Amino acid sequence: MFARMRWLIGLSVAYLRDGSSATATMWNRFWFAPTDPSTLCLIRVLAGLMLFYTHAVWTLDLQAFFGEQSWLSREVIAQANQGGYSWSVLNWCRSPAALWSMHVAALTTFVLLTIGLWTRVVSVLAFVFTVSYAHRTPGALYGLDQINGLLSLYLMVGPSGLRFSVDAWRARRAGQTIDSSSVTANLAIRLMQCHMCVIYLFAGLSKLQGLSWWTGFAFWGGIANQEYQTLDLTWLADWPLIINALTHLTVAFELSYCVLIWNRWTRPLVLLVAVFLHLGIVFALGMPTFGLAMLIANAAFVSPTLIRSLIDGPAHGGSNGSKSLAMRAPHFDSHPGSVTAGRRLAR
Amino acid sequence: MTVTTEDNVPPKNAVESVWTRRPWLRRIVSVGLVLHLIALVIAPLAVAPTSPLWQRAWLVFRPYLEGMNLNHGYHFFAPEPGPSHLVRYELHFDDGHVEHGIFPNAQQHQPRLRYHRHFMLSEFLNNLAIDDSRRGLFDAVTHSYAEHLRHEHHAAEVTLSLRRHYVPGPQHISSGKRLDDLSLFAERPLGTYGSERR
Repeated sequence: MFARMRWLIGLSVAYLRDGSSATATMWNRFWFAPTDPSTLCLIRVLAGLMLFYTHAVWTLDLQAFFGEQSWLSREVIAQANQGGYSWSVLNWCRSPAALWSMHVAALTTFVLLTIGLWTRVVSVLAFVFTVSYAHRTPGALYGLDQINGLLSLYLMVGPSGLRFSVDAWRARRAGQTIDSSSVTANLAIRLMQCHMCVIYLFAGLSKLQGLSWWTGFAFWGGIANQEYQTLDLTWLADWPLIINALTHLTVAFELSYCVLIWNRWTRPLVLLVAVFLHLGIVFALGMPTFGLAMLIANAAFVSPTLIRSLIDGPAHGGSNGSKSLAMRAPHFDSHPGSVTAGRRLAR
Repeated sequence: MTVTTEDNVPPKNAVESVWTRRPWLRRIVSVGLVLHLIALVIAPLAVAPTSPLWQRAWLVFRPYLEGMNLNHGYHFFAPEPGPSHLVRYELHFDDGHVEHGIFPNAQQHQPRLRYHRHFMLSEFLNNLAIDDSRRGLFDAVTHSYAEHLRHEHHAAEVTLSLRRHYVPGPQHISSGKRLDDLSLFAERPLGTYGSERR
């Protein structure tokens, strides 16, 4: 009896020890294995362009949204944020001159982020400005601002200026060594990936509360909404089964994204569906910026190998053909040395 | 000199970096990562309808979520796509003439992002209008919109109404109804605002 108890306890201890060891190895491999920063750097360029455009459009209504007589006065914002923790550097701007100066500084920051000059400092400033604009006018925000916030947040984490940047060009000219891989680049990309999974999962779960997502006509609610519509798809009224299929596909895609995106074989298909879904939002639902921002964030799942192949040519990609898309695609299984790396880190 | 040889293959000693030499750094970052991921999930979980557990958890993470601009529910077109909302306004000037306007206005608000900003203003007002617990904020926002319009157009008074635009069913469109059919609109007067609010 005692021997059996000892055996059972020993088995349990071994299970816990092996389990925690394996978990630590996987955890370290997932978060702390160095990666090629090309994906992060490409996202910096695209996100920089999106941030610049998003904020450049505010120029047309700067006083109307952020001035003293704005749509939402400071007092109303304070009332809405009662007991909250929102902050904004735009609250320091009490005159049109101060507001315009801050706005020019913000636009300059986004240009510098895009071209990758003084990237580490500029990426922090870009986040500060992105959040500041969002917090100053909460009533005018939508999904685009959430994705802009996500991108600017994680661009601060990694060395997003190591490639495709003026910083990299200057370093090369000065004869400096540029890191070919980086742990913080991996952290930034992983955070983007996990955040995208959370977004899609809750986008899908929240739809399960709505009747029309079950009856299959929610898709119609989007395309027949005149305030959103930019492409007339109401001819689908005569094809209800197509409306049903597109409705259910949307929910299925959003719910399964957080699982299927991690598998190297299903990942390209998931990304392909994401491209179609978000291009649909771009062209039919009148939200080109939101659709493109989602695609930029989805780029976190594209292999750095593929990106370098596309930008520098196949010779620099270090991979061949379809392998770069699926076999060696994103980071979970992209490093031949990363398993060893993870084990070493787990010690 | 650029070191860009084999992609994705970390240099042999790459992991023997600060991250391997300082396990405490990895542990601190790991704790931060776990807390960050929990916060990301708590934000949408705490959106109504929700449980007291998620509401309490949200209160713990609230400073981080709001401070970092992460306090989002990600309920895109959910639970239902629903009707859209516009704000119609009448500007009354001192000389007696009246002008009408509406936002969002696709003709007036170009490019599309600018239109969408104004669209979100009217949707924001509707979200407050349908929530009785935020009546005070609804009144304050309505007043703020009115004051902005009055100031921008140098009007004496402004009258606001919230217009709801219902989405017709596929069967209605098949039978010839248009998306802008008058029967699809409903209007809720919000009041007249000026030097003396009526």
